[in-house]
Order: sequence, then C-alpha cells, then structure tokens
Amino acid sequence: MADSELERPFDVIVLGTGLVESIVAAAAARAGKRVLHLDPNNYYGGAAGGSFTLDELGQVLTPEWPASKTSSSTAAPSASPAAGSSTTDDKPTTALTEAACVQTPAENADSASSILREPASSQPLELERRPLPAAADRFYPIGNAVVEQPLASAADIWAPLARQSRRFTLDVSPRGLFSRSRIVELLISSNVGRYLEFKPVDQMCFARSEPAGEAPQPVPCSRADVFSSSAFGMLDKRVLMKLLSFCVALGPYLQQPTDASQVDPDVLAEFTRFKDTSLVQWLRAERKLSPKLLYIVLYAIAAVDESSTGEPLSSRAALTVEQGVDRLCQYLSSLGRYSRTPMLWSQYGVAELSQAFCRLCAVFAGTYILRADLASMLVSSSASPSTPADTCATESVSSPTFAGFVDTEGHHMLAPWLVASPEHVLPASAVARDHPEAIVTLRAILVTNRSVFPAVGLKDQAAGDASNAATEPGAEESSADSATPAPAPPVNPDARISFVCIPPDTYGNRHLVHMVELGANAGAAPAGAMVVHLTCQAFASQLTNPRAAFGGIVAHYFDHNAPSSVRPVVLWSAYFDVLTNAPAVAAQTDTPANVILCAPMASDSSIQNVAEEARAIFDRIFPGEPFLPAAPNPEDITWDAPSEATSDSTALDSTLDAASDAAPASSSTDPTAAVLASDTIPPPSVAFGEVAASSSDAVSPTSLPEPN
Amino acid sequence: MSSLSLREVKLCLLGDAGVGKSSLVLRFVADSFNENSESTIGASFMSKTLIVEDQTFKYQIWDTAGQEKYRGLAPMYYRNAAAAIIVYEITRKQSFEALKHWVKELRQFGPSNIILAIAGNKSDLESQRQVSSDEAKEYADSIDALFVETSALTADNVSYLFEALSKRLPQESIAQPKPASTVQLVDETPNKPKNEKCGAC
Repeated sequence: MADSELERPFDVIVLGTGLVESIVAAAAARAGKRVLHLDPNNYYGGAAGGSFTLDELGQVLTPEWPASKTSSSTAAPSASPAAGSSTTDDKPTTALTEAACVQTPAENADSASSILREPASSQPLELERRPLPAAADRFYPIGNAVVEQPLASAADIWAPLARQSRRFTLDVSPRGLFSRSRIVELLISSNVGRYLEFKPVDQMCFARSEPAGEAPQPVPCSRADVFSSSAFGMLDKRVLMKLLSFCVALGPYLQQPTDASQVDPDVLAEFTRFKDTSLVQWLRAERKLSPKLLYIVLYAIAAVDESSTGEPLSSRAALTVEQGVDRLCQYLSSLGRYSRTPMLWSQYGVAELSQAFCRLCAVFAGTYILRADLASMLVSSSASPSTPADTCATESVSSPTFAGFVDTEGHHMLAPWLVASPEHVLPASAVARDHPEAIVTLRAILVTNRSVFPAVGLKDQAAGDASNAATEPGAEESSADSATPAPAPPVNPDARISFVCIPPDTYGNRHLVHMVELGANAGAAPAGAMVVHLTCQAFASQLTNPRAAFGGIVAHYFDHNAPSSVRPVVLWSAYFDVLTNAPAVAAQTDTPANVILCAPMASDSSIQNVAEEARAIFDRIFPGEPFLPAAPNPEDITWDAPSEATSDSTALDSTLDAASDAAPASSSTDPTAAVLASDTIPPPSVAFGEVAASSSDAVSPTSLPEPN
Repeated sequence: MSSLSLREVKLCLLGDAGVGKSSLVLRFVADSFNENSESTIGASFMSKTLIVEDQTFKYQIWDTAGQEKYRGLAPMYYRNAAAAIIVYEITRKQSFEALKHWVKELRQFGPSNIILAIAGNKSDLESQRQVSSDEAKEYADSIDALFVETSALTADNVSYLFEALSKRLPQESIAQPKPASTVQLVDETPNKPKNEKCGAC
C-alpha cells in the first residue's frame, strides 16, 4: 500500500477544512513543510463553512450519526483509555513507546531517528492514546434545525426544482468578500485567486418599514449615487460627503497607525478624541447625521447591530468610532475595484475558497484525506513524571503534548503540531452553548420562485448584461411591474446578486438582519428558483428560535401559498443556528499546548479576518517563514528541453520567469526551492478601479519547449 | 493561424494513484519522462497548445496533485472542465476496475457534457498485461468514451490521445467564454516584459 507516506512524520497535521485551517495548510506546504490535511467529513469547508446541494444540506443540518459506540462524552484523557478503540487496531491501547510507532510500518525503512523530532526524541517517549469523542458526542456547530417542505399548492413548482438538487449551492454561512480586504489581497498575492471565480454583488440595498410595501432601496455606491439620489436633501448630502471625506482622509493612518504625518491634523484630532466612544453617539451628536442618514450609514454601510437611538440592543459593548470608521473605510475603499458595489460573491459558494487553498496545498505536496476515520489522539506526557499535578484530583497531566493520530486502520500519523477545527476534537460537553456570552448566528435559507425585487423595463434589460445565461420565465412579472421606476441596475432581477440590510425593528426583527438573494446566475439555484439567505447574530441565551427571529421578515416579503401571489412564494425553507463564538471553546484547558484550535467560522465579518488568523497560526508554528508567497503562474513555468533532462530530479526544473534573475533554476534540484524564489516578486499594488480581465494572451515562446 | 481560432480547454485527469497520470501529462507537455513523480510540485496545472485540423487548442491540464489518493478530490477540480482523461494501467487489473468509480465520480461532480477519454497506460509493459485491449475498448464504448493505450515512457500514442480528444470536443463547450460578469482575482500589475527574457535566452 501507499501508506508508508502516512507513516513518515509530518511537520503539521491540519484537522478540518474550514477556511482558516485550509489557509494554514496551504501556507505550510508552500513553505516546503510536510502537511497532512484530514477531514472526517466527505466535503470541504466544515459543517459551518460548507456549500451544499439541496440533498446534502438536509444531511448536514440534521446529521444522523451512525449508531455508535463508546463511552462517556468527556475528553477525560486517562479515565477511559480503551473506550475509543472500537478500532480494527489490536494493539494495546495503553502507552505506546516510540519503538512501537516505528515498527508499525513494516516495510518502512525510514530512519528511526526521524520519527520524532521533539527535542526529547533521544529517549523513548510515552505516547498515550486519548480516544476522540465519537461523532455523536462531538461538538457540532449547527443546531435547532428545521426543514420545511412546500405546501401542497406550491408542490407542483417545487417538484421539478427539487429534482435538480445538484444545481443548488447552499451556504451554511453565506459571506460576501469586500473587494479590498485582506482575504482578497491574500487570494491575489498567493495566486490562489486563479482557481476561483467571483461575481460582483449587483446591488446593495437597505429595507425600510415605511412606506409600506416599498422595495428595498439602493445604498449609494458612488459620489454620483449620493448626489443623484432623491432620498436625501442637500444638507444630508453635504453631511454625508463630509463624513466620507473624513474616513478617506483617515484611511492611510488606519492602515499604518505609526505614520500620522499624512493625515490632516484636524481630522486626526477629532479621531483621537472620539475613537473610543460610541459610533452611534458620535454620528448623532458630533457629525449631526439626520435620522435617515444615520440609518443608512449605521446599518447599510457599517453594519452596526445597535439601535440608532443609542440604546443597547444587548449587553454587547457598543461599536466604537475607531471600529466604525474602520468599517466605513473598508466599504469605501472597496467601491469601484471590481464593480460599482464593494462586495464580491464566490461563485459556487464560499467553500470554494477552502478548496482553492487546499488545492494549493496539494500542489505543493500536501497529503489529503477526506472521510478520515480517526480513532484516537496520541499524546505524550513527556514532562517530569511525578509532578504535583499527579496528586491533584484532576485528570489532566502536567503538560501533555500532541504527538499524532491513530486511525481506525491502525495508521500512526505523527506531527509536532496540530491545527484543528473544534468540531473534530472537542466533545459537545466542552462547549457551553448556554453560556451567557455564547453567540449564535441565526439562519434561514429560503428557496423561492422569483426575486423580491420588481423587474425593470424590458428596454433597460436589453441594454444590460446580455450574457446572463439564465433566461428566466419572468416575462410576466416584467410586464406587470414595468411601470415601477426602480432605480436599480437594468437587469432581470432574478439574475442579480442582491445584498439587503434589514435594520433592527424593521419587520419585527430585534437584530440587524442581512438578506442575500441569489439565483442561477450566481450558481446558487436552478433556473426558475431563487435562494434567499437570512442571517443575524444574537446571544444564544436570548434568541434561540431562528424561525421566530425571521418571522416578520419572511411574512413581509414572501407568501407560502398560491403561486399566483404578487409576492414571491417560499417553496422550501430551512431554519437553523450556528454557534459562532462560545467562550468555553477557548478555555478548554485540556488541549495540549501544541494543538491550535481555530475559531468557529460563522460570523459574517469573520471572513474578512481569516487571513490574519491563519497567518498568526502559521507564524506561531513556522516563525520566520514566508507566508504564502505567490505561487508560480503555470503559464510562466518553463520546461527544460528533454535533452537536458538527464538526471531524474531535474527533468522538470520549473522556474518562474520573474524569479530567474534572483535564483537561477539550474542551481536547484528541488523545484520547490526554485519556486520559493518568487518572493522577489513585488507585492501587488493594485490600482483603484481595476477590473481583472481573464488573461487569454497566447503562450509566450519561452514557456514551452521547442516543438520537435 | 488567426488568434480567433484559439480555444482554451480545461482538462482534468483521473484514475488511481500510480497509474501514470502525471507522467502522461509530462510526456504530452514537455515530451519528457521522469521517474520521480514529485516533479510536478508547484504546478497547479500545465498548459500546452496543440494544432489539430487548423484549430488551435490551448489545453489547461489539471492533475490531481495526489488528492485522489485518499478520497480528497474537491468539486472545484471538475469545475468547468471540458474534457477528462481517466487513466488506468494495463498491468494492473484493479486500476481498470476503478474506472467505474471514477466515471461515477465524474457523473456526480463533473459537468454533464464533459468529453471522456480512457487511457490504458504503461503499454510498454506488454508482458505484464492484465487488462486486454478488447475488454477496455468495450467498456469505453459503453460509456461513449475515447479509448487509447498509451505509454508515457515511450511516448507511444500520447500525442494521438490529445489529438483524438480535440476532435471530439464540441464547438460550443470549448469556445464558450467565461461569463462576462465573472471577476478573477489575479494580480495584473507586475506585467514582466517577456521580451527581456527572450533576449537573455
């Protein structure tokens, strides 16, 4: 078997394919490290970060665990050493010695000295098997799931759509990317963006409870939008432009707080004075925003989940001016980069991002195992054998160290580091869902028969994006609504990607709700259907029923009944919540020091921070190593002429055009080394308003071998 | 040849580990053979242009990068592929049996209109043959796939495989441009003047 590959020690094991985990895996492999990337699931992204077909989603929301099993639901390391070993491995489940590990791969002639790279490897290391919690006992981020099938009156529309399960891409945690955010910069600088396709979000809107029946209104996305908008008076426009100018002036300083020389002293003085105070108060009292303007700035642009009167919605701390200005800056700087709106949507779902980073990891020799069936974690309790801890009543040893995993087939997979998603290592009992500070993301996914937005005139539509493949059966709506002077972009509404912000208390919703509407054009649904995502965050202790939380919004926009309805009909719906932040996760004392648990990734803003989180983990494990330098552009890889390929290792001497000056590839027998020289590429400096065209230029003569 | 007739084709390779997928690509793209399969490290895909019947095809060939070994291939791998080559080795019956699995996998995750080819690799090892050509041809016909026996070692039939595949590609699936509104996140700025490099050669 090829399993000797698994038995050679790795530099890091990554467990779970959430986005942070995948970025860490890619960065490690890119730096030439041996990476083993495992996921017990048969899909990428993790339960909270996955993108699923209609059929798959049902299983993810309400998983049916295989009837197991074993033992207690605690992670007590020594309390039940044999409990997790419903394995096919017949070895004793007590302490293993180093020698035992080496012997397992009988044909593996690797030197024993390399098997453990810990400083203590000169002396036998006691490895204890710590059973992993069984699937049914593990922490699972999704809860309170309800799936509702269509009413009989809509069943006829639903049936043909349901048969196209695979044409749905349903994100458990739908997230747009700001065009100018660190994750986008990372996708560009690492070249991982090449694997992905994004669609610009077509419209950013906000909902208002009055006038009743009004469609969501567009958020101004440019100076021209502001000045042409009929929604504001002159005074509002001036106040808004002054606020935006203030943010723009602060932008460079926020990026580089050490250099204040470029900032207008007045701007800096105001910022310094107010930065730690409440954003809402500052906008109201100092910036004199009218209620209407405040509404747009707070909710639609800064996505502040607070009452506009300054009353706290919850016990969460109010957003500060510093945080708020940062959000405004992100929004503003993202405008116009790829489209007029600031957001990008990952075609085929957010899990594509994980897959893209995993692809890079694999391309750099990372090993991938999906449906990994792990039996237990190997833990060494190397530290002083008789510490006072032993006398304590607790079960934890003084300083347990992660050493590796044993799977159910008995493979020992060793590494000095583990980066893991909590859902794969923590027992459910370790995560306090009912902790007063635990935050859940409440979710609804609705499949409807058409957009909540009215169609615009057919005349305009013809002038719009002609490439929209989805020719919706929407002609009848167009004629019905053609009189509506909608200021939206001139396209078929079903072909648009729309972000709608629904401020607190608009339709009975206590919190700020984000609504995302997607159709076939975004790869989210078959033609003739739309997918609507509703998302809000709340303290788990305060709001636990997603169906109730979104009830007013759903009732406002949708019908559940006759297809002849004026409003879109909900054909299918799922309600659930995703645990986003539970303090107990971080406080898990039992976790060995060389195990890094990634934060659950469900919050809407968190995707903007994944790059930093991944980088922090990478720097901790591999300090001083370059973090995801640009991967070579395949078009730039030069292939040696076959005649030169005399030795085995240099048959493919891949080198970057750009790197060849700094590191002549001929000196290197390791393709990776040559590739790493691409660090010399200058960091991407991106011009405002650029729109990347797909490069269709012919192959340069240098990138191909001489034709024979 | 006018540049108008250039067609970009994404092709993905499938088949069990060790059947010679990477060797096949390396033979096609660089006309070389390399015992060390690690040689493809760092190349996310390989490109090669091929002219068949006055039509220029620019192949973008995706190798599995080992992700097939432990069931780790991602849906992204198949995305927008116009063609797939499923490889087995004629000297290992088991790798032929696995074809059915890979065809099923493609039907489940791949584009519905993907053009299939089956390559029986290592045809230079005739003495160790375990899979007869007739049996393989019959299976290929049953799933409407092109069938060729190849040798990455001797280059036998490798070019033919891609030429025959090119002829099978329907006009629309290869000429299809990316949806106009799609954004690709690539760094456009450091456009290295390639002429300099040519001068240095």
